[in-house]
Amino acid sequence: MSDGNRLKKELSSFWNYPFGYEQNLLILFSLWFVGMQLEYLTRSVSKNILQFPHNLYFIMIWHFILFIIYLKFPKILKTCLSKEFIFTSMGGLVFLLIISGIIPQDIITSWPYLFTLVLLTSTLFLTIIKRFARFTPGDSVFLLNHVGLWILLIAVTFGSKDRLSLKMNLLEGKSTWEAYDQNSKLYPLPFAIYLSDFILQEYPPEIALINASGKILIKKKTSGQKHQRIPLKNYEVYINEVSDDGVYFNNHWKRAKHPGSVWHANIKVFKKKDQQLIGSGDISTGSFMQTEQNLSLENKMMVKYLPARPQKFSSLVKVFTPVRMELATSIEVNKPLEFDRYQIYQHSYDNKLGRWSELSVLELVYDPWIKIVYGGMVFLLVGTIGLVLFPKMRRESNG
Amino acid sequence: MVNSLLLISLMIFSLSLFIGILSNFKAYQLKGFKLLGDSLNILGMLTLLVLILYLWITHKRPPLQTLGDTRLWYSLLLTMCGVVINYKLKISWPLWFCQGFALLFIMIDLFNQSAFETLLPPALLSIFFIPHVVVYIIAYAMLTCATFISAKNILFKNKRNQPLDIDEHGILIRSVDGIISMGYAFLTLGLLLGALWAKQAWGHYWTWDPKETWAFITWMIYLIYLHLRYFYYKKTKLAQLYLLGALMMLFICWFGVNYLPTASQSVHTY
Repeated sequence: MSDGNRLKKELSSFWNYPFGYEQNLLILFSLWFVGMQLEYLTRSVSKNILQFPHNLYFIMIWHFILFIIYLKFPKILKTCLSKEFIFTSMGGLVFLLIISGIIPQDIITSWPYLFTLVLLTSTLFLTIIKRFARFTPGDSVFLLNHVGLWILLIAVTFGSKDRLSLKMNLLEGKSTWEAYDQNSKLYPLPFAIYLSDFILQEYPPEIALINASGKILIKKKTSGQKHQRIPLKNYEVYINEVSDDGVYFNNHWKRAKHPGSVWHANIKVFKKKDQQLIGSGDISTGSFMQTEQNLSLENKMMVKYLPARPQKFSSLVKVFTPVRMELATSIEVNKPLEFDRYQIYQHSYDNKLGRWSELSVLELVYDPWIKIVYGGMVFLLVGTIGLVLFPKMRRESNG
Repeated sequence: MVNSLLLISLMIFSLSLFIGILSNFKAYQLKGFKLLGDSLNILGMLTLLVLILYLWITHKRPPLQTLGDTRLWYSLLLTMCGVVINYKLKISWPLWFCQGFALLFIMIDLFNQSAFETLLPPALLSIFFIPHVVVYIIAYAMLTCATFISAKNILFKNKRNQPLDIDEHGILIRSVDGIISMGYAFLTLGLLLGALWAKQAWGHYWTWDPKETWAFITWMIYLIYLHLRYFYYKKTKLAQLYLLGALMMLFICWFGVNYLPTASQSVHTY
């Protein structure tokens, strides 16, 4: 036998069914290699496959092929359902994820990742139809889990570029019809939003004891109400007067709902041990109108208010459509508004002006796949509960 | 008041842990000794509950807002989780483990009482916050417990110079698998709750934030374990070694993420 023939024979015996881990790993590595080349060659080309309608075409053709494999090609089917194939594709996916988890990069839309995901999702789909074909009620938990994961993997990956996220800058007393995307491209909207009021509620500022070099030794929450006593290390602060709308004018503190007014308190500081009064005066937070005020104690120590932090911010808005519709509502963090096909989120405001900001930035999200994703989540959730309630039987004959 | 309640619960849990471990030795297997440990544990849980109620009343809001608050809830739920495992599966290990963790968390709260003063930003003021965190901690606790139980099996088998009899071995493996699949269920629940919360607060259910990536990795790794048990049921040694590796990944996800080059992009830094 010549060397060439032996090589041929060895090669053909290498690719004989059933495939072991060597063959499956070789397939995976080849796909990664091809994927990396593709990635390099088409760096600037966006992946149409993740976008409507190409993603739908791809998913349909891909699953059609899987169905044909299921019906007509038992050897390929067996290979795709083998434990070697399943562990190779799962392990491959985890390996790529770990790399992306360590080194910052966008691996999720890269070709090697997509190829691996297609392998994994293919075996998932084939497993599902095989189980469906000989369904018994005992398979419900199995199917719920696998179908849920299959839906999620496909929807999250192949729907990722269909999601539209826009920002909208609203000014108090004005309505806006357009929003912009991350490349500042403008999008006209089928509705307008009028900002009646932007409200920012602050936590009462924390009170802190700082040393000569400005280091915070201790900080405590305050209640925002007078007559509170707050222990700060060896001292005790008594809050005599407090307001969230203090204005320092002509060497006096007044209260006024004036832009730039600040948290102000008149305090007395005692020594904790013997209740000896060692200082009294005013402290305040700062704003674009006023500088902050601190109270000096012995040894160059100071009592001060830390900048007040936002507790809740919301926009009171009216939403209009051309057909006389009007909806008055409020949008706040964690409480988005659903309108038309968008979910509308409170995004940000003018940080420099804080609660005096007249600008409110909303984020508008349109995600056509969201219902499918929720569906997948429900499947997975019910399936997982099933897993706990009815522990599955094992394939004991194997291994 | 907060200080003394924390101290009391710390002492009760330590005592309960001590008695629990002691009661496992032959010399101390007196009737009622174990019961004493378990009752003390319940008493410790009650103390934590009193503390939570106290904070609830004095702050005039449910204590669900600060990191200090969440540590109290962890401790309470962890020990509850240990009690359930102890009662259902008749293994006391997990309870000790949970008590150890509860002690650690209570200690952190005790020495860092300004943690109750932390003010949470608006995005964290969500009904999903506590369930998300609590479910994850339960999942982590269960997965870690199961790994320890199975590791104990590898590490200490030869010490006694007599292999475990087949029955005992089988029961141990089955309880490890049972706890792992429960832990996996909680992991799934935590992942999904996190996704739902993210959708509500940040507009997208999945942004491949490093913590999210690692949460998914961890989830996949335990998913592979379940398949490993399905396809290679007889290879218990492989499964035990795999669990040790999986636990390392879990720890990376839990706190290791903060030290990785990707951490700077994360919203999950705390």
